[in-house]
Amino acid sequence: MNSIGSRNGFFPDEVILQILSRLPIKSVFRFRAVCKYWYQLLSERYFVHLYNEMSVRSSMILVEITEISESKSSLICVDYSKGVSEFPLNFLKDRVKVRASCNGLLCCSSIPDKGVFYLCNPVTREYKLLPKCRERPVTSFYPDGEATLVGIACDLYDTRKFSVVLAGYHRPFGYSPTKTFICMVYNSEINQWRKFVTLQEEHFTQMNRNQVVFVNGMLHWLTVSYSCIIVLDLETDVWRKIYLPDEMSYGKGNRMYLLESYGCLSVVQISDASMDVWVMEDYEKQLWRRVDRVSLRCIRGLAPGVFPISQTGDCVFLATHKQVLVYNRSTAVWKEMYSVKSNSTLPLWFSAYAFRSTIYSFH
Amino acid sequence: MASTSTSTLSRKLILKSSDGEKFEVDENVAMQSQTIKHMIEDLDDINSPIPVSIVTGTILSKVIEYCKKHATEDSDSDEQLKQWDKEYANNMDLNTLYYLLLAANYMEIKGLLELITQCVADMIKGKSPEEIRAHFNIKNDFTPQEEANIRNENPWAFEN
Repeated sequence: MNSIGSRNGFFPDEVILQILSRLPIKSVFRFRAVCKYWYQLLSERYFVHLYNEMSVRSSMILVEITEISESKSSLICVDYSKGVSEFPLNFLKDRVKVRASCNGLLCCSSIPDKGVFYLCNPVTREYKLLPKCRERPVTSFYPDGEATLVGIACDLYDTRKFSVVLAGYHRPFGYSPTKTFICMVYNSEINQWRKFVTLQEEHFTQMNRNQVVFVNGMLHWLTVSYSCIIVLDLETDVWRKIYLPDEMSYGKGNRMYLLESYGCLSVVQISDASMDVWVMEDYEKQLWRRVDRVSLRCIRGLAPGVFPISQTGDCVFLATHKQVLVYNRSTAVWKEMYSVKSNSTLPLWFSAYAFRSTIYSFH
Repeated sequence: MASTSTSTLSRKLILKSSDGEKFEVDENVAMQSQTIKHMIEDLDDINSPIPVSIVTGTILSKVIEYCKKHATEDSDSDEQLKQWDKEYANNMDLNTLYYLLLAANYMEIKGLLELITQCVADMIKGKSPEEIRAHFNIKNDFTPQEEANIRNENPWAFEN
């Protein structure tokens, strides 16, 4: 068998690409050193496209574990098939916290320097320091001095451009907060921020803030009232609302969370006994369908404090105060993937994010 | 004259390998191959053997084994089928696996192609560039300086 992996060799290019697109990113970057042909193959846009398309199937989440007493944190990746590994962010050379996650990119804010934001790919360790947005209101966001909503808009298939959104209520110095909702949008193509102001009355819990979903070119957050999703259209800089249908009845004790499901919006409802998964199958017509109902009997004791973080066709990731659980959809088996012993950490669900391993370039 | 075939379920097809071996299979088994599906559409007489020109009899019998299993999937759960796939791929030697991969690509059998590409990816993912070259018999056409530069672009990828 001669020269299996080279041009005009044993395998057609398409087969080689199919194999290489199923590798971990680390192997992809290492195999660029195999020969000139592989270097070219693995650097082409077509390969990046193929790789990112495949990443949709990967089942993993990121959890930032914060020690309250020592004010230090670490980032771990919980992967359904590969287990738990650490994702050090020390290549950023700053003390940061994760603020948003989208398609493999993280937006991190500097803890010592307010208003400093990074966009990074924690797997390839590439990052971009965003220009400082000079607007003063950013420092007077209400209630905690930082943007309430942070979101990343990055397309899996067009990896050359992305946007970062910071939004929140404005508090004029010395006054009580108003309904003035300030939104800053960073556009990577012109390397600049733009700002627009609207009026809003919606409020958001920590989970609402973490669970920002980018689909259809728009960013989505569930509001605290559970009655609607607010939508930011980045083409037109308009905020809209999607009202949830009546049949997704907000029965007593039901909690709701916003996730993604293969490019669609998905709402997960949790009651004491079960977890219902809804998917918005038609975005234009706003058609929702309940696709799954999972009994929480097996984790009964944990059910009141369990939060869904991410889902794929194979499984659902959930976090409690101290554990990361995975529910396998085809076997209906629950599994504990990770747990912390320490009593002094923030709840795991407080900073757990959907994640996938993708190739992006910031150059 | 228009023929009026009554049932398509029980029709048999004959596949002929590159070395002349013939296999009789149910149509729904063979139809998992997009290539064969298209060939049948253009065929006047389905009783004549369908040539699978680049696939040998040994490999074709393995392909048919896979297609048979996946044609009757309702008898097994997803989990059982996955387990079967895993054992099927693990029982191949490397040479067979690579010829099977070529066959799956040529015959356009999506599931089999996915199974084997993933299996090969898992096999090679931990290897160094040197090991990859040896494994696939690839010549290193970088100068030492060029190779060093590539390693320096992403040193983390070369850490253990």
